[in-house]
Amino acid sequence: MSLKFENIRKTFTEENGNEFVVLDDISFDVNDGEFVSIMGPSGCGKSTFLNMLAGILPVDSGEIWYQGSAVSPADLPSAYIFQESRVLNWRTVGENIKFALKAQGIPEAEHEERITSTLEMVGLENERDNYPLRLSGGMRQRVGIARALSVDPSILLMDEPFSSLDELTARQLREDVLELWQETDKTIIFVTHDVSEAVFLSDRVFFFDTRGQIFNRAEITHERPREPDDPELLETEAELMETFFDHMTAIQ
Amino acid sequence: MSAKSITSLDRLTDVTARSILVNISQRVRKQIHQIVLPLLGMIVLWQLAAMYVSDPMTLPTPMATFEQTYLLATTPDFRGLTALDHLRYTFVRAIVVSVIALSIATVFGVLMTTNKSFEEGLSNVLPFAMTVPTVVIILLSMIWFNFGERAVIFATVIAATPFGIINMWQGAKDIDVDLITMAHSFDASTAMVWRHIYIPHLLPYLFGSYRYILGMVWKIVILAEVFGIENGFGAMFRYYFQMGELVVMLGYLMLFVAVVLIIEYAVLKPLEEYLFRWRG
Amino acid sequence: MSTYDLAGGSPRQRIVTAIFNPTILTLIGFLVIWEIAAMSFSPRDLPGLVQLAELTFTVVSGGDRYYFPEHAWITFQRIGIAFVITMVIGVTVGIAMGYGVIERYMTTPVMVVLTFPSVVWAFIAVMWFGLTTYLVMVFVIVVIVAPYVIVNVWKGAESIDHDLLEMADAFDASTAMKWRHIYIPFLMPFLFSSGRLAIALSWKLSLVAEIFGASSGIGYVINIYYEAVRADMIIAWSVPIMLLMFGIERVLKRVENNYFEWRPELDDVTSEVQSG
Ligand SMILES: Nc1ncnc2c1ncn2[C@@H]1O[C@H](COP(=O)(O)OP(=O)(O)OP(=O)(O)O)[C@@H](O)[C@H]1O
Ligand SMILES: [Mg+2]
Repeated sequence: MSLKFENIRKTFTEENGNEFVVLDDISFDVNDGEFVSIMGPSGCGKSTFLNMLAGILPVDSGEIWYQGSAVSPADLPSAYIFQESRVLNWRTVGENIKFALKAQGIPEAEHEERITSTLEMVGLENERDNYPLRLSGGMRQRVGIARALSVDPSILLMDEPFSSLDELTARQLREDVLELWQETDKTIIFVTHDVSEAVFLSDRVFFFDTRGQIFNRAEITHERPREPDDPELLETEAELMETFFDHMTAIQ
Repeated sequence: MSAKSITSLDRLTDVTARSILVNISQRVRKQIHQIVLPLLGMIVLWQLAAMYVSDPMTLPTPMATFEQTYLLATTPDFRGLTALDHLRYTFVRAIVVSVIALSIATVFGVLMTTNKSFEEGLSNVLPFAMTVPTVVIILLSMIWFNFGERAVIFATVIAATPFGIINMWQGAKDIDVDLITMAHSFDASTAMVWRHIYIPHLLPYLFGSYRYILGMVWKIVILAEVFGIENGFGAMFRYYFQMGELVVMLGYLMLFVAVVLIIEYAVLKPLEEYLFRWRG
Repeated sequence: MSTYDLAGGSPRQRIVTAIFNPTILTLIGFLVIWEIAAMSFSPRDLPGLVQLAELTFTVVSGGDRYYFPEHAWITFQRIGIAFVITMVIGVTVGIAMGYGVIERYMTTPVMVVLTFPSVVWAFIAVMWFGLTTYLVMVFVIVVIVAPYVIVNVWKGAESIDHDLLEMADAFDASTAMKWRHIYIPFLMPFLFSSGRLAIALSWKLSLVAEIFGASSGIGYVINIYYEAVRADMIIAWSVPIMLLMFGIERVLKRVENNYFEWRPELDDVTSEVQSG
């Protein structure tokens, strides 16, 4: 029970002054080194949830526990990988990683070593002095991943990181992320729209609904390594989708 | 193995060298097509028109004009100044004014993006400032500052700055907010956000704005110099206009055009390409 | 009371919000600065707001030594004639450049002509044509403004989406249909903004040309007052047309924004320039 969320709630104020609830009451926990996914319809608050964990948005109420003590999001050793790569186009690949290292206050002496090793991990060791606009979409996304890995977080937050890539590139990157995850024992919280992506990657999947609650917690027990088009996985996907649609019609 | 790798390396550098050469010759050819040929065409047309008019007082030939330019640049006039000296006066004024205008524009442009009421107030009032004609600003400024150097500077700054502000504001407006959130997720300090995001983002606009401001300022300075100052291109244009010396005016004009185009195409544009090579 | 109440609320509250509107505040700030500055100048150099209003009224109602309606009318005629000629030339050449044929060869000449200061054209025109009623002014405006219109229209012609043209060809659309549904919609915003730019520049340039090359018109009168060192009269003569031009500009801008809503990226189409 290393990471635990209790009754997390978040509301936004609309232009006209009305309050609306995005996340009502979210509670779940994540084990060390676990790969969990969050799924839900568009606008249900998945990105909002990750943004709160990353300290970009304040939490309204609720508690976060990490390694047995209550913490604020700022204290979580996490790093964020975004849907769009969000790299600085005017800095080289290496300098982009340096940006994160400096921001996190990591000693200058370690920068060199960390930049080289993380670029190797994502297979971009030859692009270090290249500018991002000269890279393909998949490579830019890898820069974003390397940047997050470079600060050596225990928790990786990923918000639909592959949804803007073509399917072939996305498959390759999924394999790579799984490999990195297994090598490094990191905890990953992964947001996605895509049920087959969630089933292929995760140990557990949490389903958010439009009322801001979790309505399904699914354990994916299939053996690893998994094959993307394995019929057993497809069957699990179909079951999950059915529960999902049943619930959506039920709460209408 | 070493011998082999050396030869292949040789070949590699050879290939890159050759591709650079090809590149250069392509560029030269392109520039001949886009710059040299059209310029020659203009001169030929001018020559034909001058031959048709056949009155040097109405339209001197290009050769006569260029000779005049050369003479003006090398011999002192009745004030003991050559055309190049006058050029220097105009040039220094233009640089001073454009730098002042750019600084004001940058401050206001950024203020407008970071502060909503500032934005609303200025964006509705600036268009009015922009409809004030340059001549009116110049004439008033001449009266207020007693027909001197300061009048020229003041008038030009007032005339150009509102345009500069709007230009900077439009640049600052489309900064990518996602990058700012990214920076926050890594706990970057405000100083880092400015250094790595705001400034690099604004720099191309700053550069573009500067070119844009300078392009206007040249001409405004000259217009201001026409009204009551003793040196600089504008003053000389007026003087030779009153003397009825069209050839001399055209001689001055050619020098001016040459200098502006050289600064634009041989200095600012290459510098911009070099500074912003990250744009792929 | 929450901020939310302020937006709607009672009439009194609405008045309060209206006054604290940033635009109004900026305007008031400007007028206050003017008034304070005016106190330390002689009224001939910088009149106070009340004096200025009186002066302007005298000028507009024809009470000044020079008869304003007559001079304003001749200036408008010059601007109008020049505008029509400029647009015809600018649009024709601009479209021709956008279709590639002469673009390569026209860029440099246009750039060269754009560097000429307006006074130089005014001087040359006076030397060629002497003092005239229309010719010098119209010539100067056309020669200076047409290149801007050309560049603007040319950008518009370049913005045309060639994929859409291919689509039209795939459906065997006629040339007329392509013009009506593709070329014109793409060109329209640029034509419109060129027109706006042309009006804004023309009236400023007409003053420069009139100062040196006319014996009538607003610029002519302004120059007389300049030689008499009467800043107050210069301001009083320029304020009425400035207000008018500002009004026209705003209306056109409003129309443009409504009309071309489907292309939000066009915000930066008008590259505004100051004449000089
Ligand atoms: N800063 C904000 N202020 C006000 N409302 C917001 C803010 N951020 C998000 N919202 C609203 O909160 C809701 C949830 O947004 P969020 O981006 O978290 O959805 P999501 O689940 O990530 O959707 P998607 O799958 O489309 O990415 C949306 O209705 C959104 O409009
Ligand atoms: Mg989202």
